[in-house]
Amino acid sequence: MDGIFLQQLINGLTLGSVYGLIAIGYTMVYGIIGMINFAHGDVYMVSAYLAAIGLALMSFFGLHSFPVMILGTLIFSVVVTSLYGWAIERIAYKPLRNSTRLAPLISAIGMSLILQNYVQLAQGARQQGVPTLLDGALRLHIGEGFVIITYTKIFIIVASIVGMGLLTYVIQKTTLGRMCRATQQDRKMAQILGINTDRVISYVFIIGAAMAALAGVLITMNYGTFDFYAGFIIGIKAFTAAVLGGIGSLPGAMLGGIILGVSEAQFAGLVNSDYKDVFSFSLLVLILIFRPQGLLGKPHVAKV
Amino acid sequence: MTQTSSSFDIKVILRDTFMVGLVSLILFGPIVGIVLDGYGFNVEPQRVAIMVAVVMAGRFLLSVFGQTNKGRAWIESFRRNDGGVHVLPPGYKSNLRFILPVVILVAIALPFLANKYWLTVVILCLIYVLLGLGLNIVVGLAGLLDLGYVGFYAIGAYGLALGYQYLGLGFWTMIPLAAVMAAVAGAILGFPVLRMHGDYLAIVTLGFGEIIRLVLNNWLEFTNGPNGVSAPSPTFFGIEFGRRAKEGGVPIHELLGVSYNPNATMIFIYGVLFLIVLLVLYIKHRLTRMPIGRAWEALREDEIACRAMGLNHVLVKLSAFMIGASTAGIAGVFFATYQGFINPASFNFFESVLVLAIVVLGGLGSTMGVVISAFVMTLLFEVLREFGDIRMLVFGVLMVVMMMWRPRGLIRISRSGFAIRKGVAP
Amino acid sequence: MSDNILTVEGLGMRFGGIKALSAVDFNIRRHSITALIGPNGAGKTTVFNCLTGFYKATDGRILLNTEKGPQTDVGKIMGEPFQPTDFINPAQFGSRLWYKMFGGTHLVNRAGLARTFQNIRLFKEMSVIENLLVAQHMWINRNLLAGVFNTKGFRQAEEKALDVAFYWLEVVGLTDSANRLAGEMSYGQQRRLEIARAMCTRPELICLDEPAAGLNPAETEALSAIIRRLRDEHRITVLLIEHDMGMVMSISDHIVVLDHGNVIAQGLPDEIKNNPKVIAAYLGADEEEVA
Repeated sequence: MDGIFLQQLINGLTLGSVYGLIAIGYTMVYGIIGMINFAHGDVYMVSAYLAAIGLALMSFFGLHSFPVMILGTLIFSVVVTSLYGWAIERIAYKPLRNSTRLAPLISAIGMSLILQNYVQLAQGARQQGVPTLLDGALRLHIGEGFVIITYTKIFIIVASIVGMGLLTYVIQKTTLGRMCRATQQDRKMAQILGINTDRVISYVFIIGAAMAALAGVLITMNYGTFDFYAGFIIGIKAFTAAVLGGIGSLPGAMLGGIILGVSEAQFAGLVNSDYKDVFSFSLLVLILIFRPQGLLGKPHVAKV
Repeated sequence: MTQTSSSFDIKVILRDTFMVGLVSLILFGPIVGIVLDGYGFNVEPQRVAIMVAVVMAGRFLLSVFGQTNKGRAWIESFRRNDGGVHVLPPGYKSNLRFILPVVILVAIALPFLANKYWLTVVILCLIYVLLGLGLNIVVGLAGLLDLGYVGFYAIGAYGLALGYQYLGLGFWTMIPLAAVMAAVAGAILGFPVLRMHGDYLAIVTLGFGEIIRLVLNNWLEFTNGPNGVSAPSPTFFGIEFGRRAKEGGVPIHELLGVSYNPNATMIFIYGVLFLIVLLVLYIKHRLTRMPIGRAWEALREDEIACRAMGLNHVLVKLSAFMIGASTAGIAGVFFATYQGFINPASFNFFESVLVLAIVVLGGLGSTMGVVISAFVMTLLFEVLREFGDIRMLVFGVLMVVMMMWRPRGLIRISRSGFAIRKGVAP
Repeated sequence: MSDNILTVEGLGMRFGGIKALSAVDFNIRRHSITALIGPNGAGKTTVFNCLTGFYKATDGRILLNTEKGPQTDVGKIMGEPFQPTDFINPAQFGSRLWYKMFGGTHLVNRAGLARTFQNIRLFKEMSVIENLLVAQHMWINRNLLAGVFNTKGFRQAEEKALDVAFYWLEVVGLTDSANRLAGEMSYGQQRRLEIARAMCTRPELICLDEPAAGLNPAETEALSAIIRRLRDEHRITVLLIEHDMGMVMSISDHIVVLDHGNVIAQGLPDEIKNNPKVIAAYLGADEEEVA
C-alpha cells in the first residue's frame, strides 16, 4: 500500500477519535432536548486553554513525570470544563425551555460569542502552545516508504477508546445512564415517573463537556497550538460527525468521527489540503440530503 | 402567595450568593487568573477577585430584589412570555405617514450636510438595513435560522468585482444579476435542505457560508485569494464620478461644468442605495399583506397545519430563503462598490452573526425595529471601534438576554386588522 | 363515478416492528357523516394520518374520488420508492421523481380532503381572520408582482377571500373574534376556528379528529349542529373520530369501529350499538365469552 495513504490513515484515526469525543456532546444534547448546542465547540476551546494552563501549573510545581502531568491535567480540565458545560446550560438554555424553537438556537450563538470573546479578552488573541509531552515514535517500513506513528497518536487513540468505554458503561449500566436514556425516549413520561429531568439535562451537558475536555487535552497534546477561535471549525466538524453517525446515537458519534477524520485526512493527503474543510462541510450537506438519519440513527417520524 | 414565601429570607440569599461565588471562582479562576505566556504563565488574582465580586454582588442584588413583591412581579413578567403581539384595529393608520416624509427630507439633506466620513458611515448603515431586512424575512417571518447569510452577501460583492474583471459587467448590470445569482444559490442550497426538520438548516447554512469564504480564500487564480480584488465605481448612464474618466469620456463634473467634488461617488451610491432601501421596505410592507407573506408566518407558527392546508412547505420556505438571499446579493454589490476593494475577510461568520444580532434586537418580524437596530448597531460599531473585542462580547450577551427577556424584540409586533363583515355569502 | 368519495383497501401501517394497522377496509359514501370509533390506541388517528397524507401507509391503497377532479391515489402523490421497472418506463420514472420532489401532504388537501387536529394546531400568533386567509392560499392571487403593486385583480381576489373567511366565521359563530389572535381564544372557540379554517380550503371531504374533546355539553350540541349543516347545506362529506358516543350515535350515518388496528364492525348506528364485538371491545370482555 501507499505510504501516504497509511500515514494519513493514522492521522485520520487520531483526528477522528477526537471528533468523535466532541460529537458525543452534540449528539447527547440533541437526543435529550432536540437542540444544537452551538456553544459546544467553544466548550472544547475552553478546555484546550485549561489543558495548557493545567500543564503549565504542573511544571510550575515541579511535576514532570508524564503520567502525573497528564492525569493531573485531565482531571483539572475535565472538572472545570464540566462546570462550564453546566453553567452554560443553566444560564443560556434552561430559562428558554418553554420558549419558541428559535430562541435557544440564537441564545446558543450568543453563548458561543461570549465564550470566544471572554477567552480572548482574558488570554489575549495570540496563538497559545504547549510543549511536546511524549517524545518518540514508531517507524514502520512498508515496501519503499515508511510510516511514522508518534507515541502521542497512540496515546490519543487509546485514551479515546478508554473514554468512550467509560461513557458507554455509564450510559448502559448505571442509574444515571438509565435516567438519561429514559429522558431521551420520552421526557414527559420520565418526569411523571419521578425523574428530575432538569437535573438529567444538566448531567448530559456535564457529560458532553467532560468528553469535550478529554478531546481538548488530547488535541492540544497532538498539535501543540490553539487559539480562541479554535472551537468554531472543530465544532462544525464534530457536528458533521454526529450527523454522519446518526444524531442521538453514541456509537454513531464515534463511528461518524472516525469516518470523517479518516476521509478528511485522505482527502487532504491525496487531493488537496487547502480544501479539506470544504470537503467536510460538503460531506455534511450531502449526508443531510441523502441520509438525514445518519448511519446508525433511526428515521424520524413526526408526531401529528 | 403564602406568608412564608413573601417574608425576607436572608439565609437563602446568602447561601445562593456564596454558591454563585464559588462556581464563578472555579470558572474564572484558571481562565482569567492564569494567563498563558509561552509555556509559562502570569498570575492575575485581582482580575479574578473583581469578576467574582461583581458576579456575587449581582446575584445578591438579584436575590434581594427577587424577594420583594415588585421583584417577584418582574420575574413573573419574564416567565409570561406572551410574545407581545397584538392586532391593530381595522382602520388603523400608522404614525409612519408623518415620520416617513421627515425621514426622506433628512435623507435628501444629508449629502449637503455630512462630510465624507459620515456619508460612508450612513452608507454602511443602509447596507446593514438591507441585510437586516433580507434576513428578517428568512428568520423573522419564515422562522428559518440562516447562519450562512454572509455567503449570499459575498456572492453579490464578488459578483461585481469578478464580473467587472472578467466580463466587464458594471454596477447597474450587477444589481439585478447579483439578486438572481444569490437567489439561485439559495435555491440550490435550500431545496434539498429545507424539506428536513428544523435546526439542521442552521448548521448547513453555516457550513455553506464557510465554504464560500474558503473557496474565495483558496482559489487564488480566480479570486486572487486573501489579497482580494478591486471593484468598479458606479457610473450614471456611462458617466463617471472620478476626477478623470477611466474609460474615456467625460467625468460628470466637467460635463456639468461644476468644480470636482471628491464626494460625488459616495453621494451617488448613497442616493441609489437609499432608493433601493425604500423600495425594499415597500416590498416588505406589501409581502406581509400578501398570500406568500402570510404563508411564511403560518409556516413559522405550525408547519404541520400548513401542510394540511395545502401549502407546499418546501416551496414556501424556499421562496423566503431566495428572497432573503437576493436582498443580501444586492447589499453585496453596494458593499463592493462603496469599498472599492474586497477580500474574503469581510465575509466571515461574525458578519452573519452581526446581521442576526440586528434582526434579533430589532424584533423577529418587525420591519421598523430592524431599520432602527441596523442604524444603532452600525453606529455603535463605529463608536466602539477601538473596543473591538468587547463589542462582540456585548453582542453575545445581548443575544442571550434578549432571548430570555424579549424574544420578539424591543418593539411590539402589530398585525393589521380587518373590518368585520356580516351576512356575506361566499 | 362511484358513490364512494373515499375507498380504503387493505390499509396497513407498521412503525418499526409494531403493527399499528392491518388490512383496514372501509368506504365512505358521498354526502354522509361517518364516524370512526374505537377504544384508545385502536389506531384511529393513525388511519387519519394515513388518509390525510401525514404517514406513508406501508400496505394497501387509499383512493379519493372527488367530484372536482380525477381519482387521487394518496400513496402515489406522497412519493413512492422507485421500482426496477421505472428505469425502462421514463414516463413512470418521471412521475415518481416529480412526486418525490414536489409531492406530499399538501397534495392530499388540494385533492379535496381537509382535516383538523386532535391537539389543536392553529397559527397562534396570527389573527383569526389571517388563519382563514392562509387556508385559502391555493384560491387567491399568488402572483408576486400583482401583490407588490396591489393591482385591481389582486384586491378583488383578496376581497373574495375575506368574504369566504367571514362567511365561515359566521357559520362557526366567531365573527366578533375576527381580529383577535388565534392563540388568545378559549378552547372551544379554537376548535371551531379549526373547522372553519379546514373548510376554507374548500374540501369535499373533511376529517375531524376528536372535535368535541374538551367541550361542554352545550358546546358539543352546537358543534353537532355545525357538522350537520356542513353535510346538509354544503354537501360536504364528514369523517370524524369521536369518543362522545351520544354525539356519534346522534349524527352519524355510518360507523366504523376499529380495535387493535383492525376493523371489527361497521354499519348503521343502531347495528353498532348492539354489536357484541363492539361492546366487548369497549368493555374489555373476552372475545369467546360474547361469541
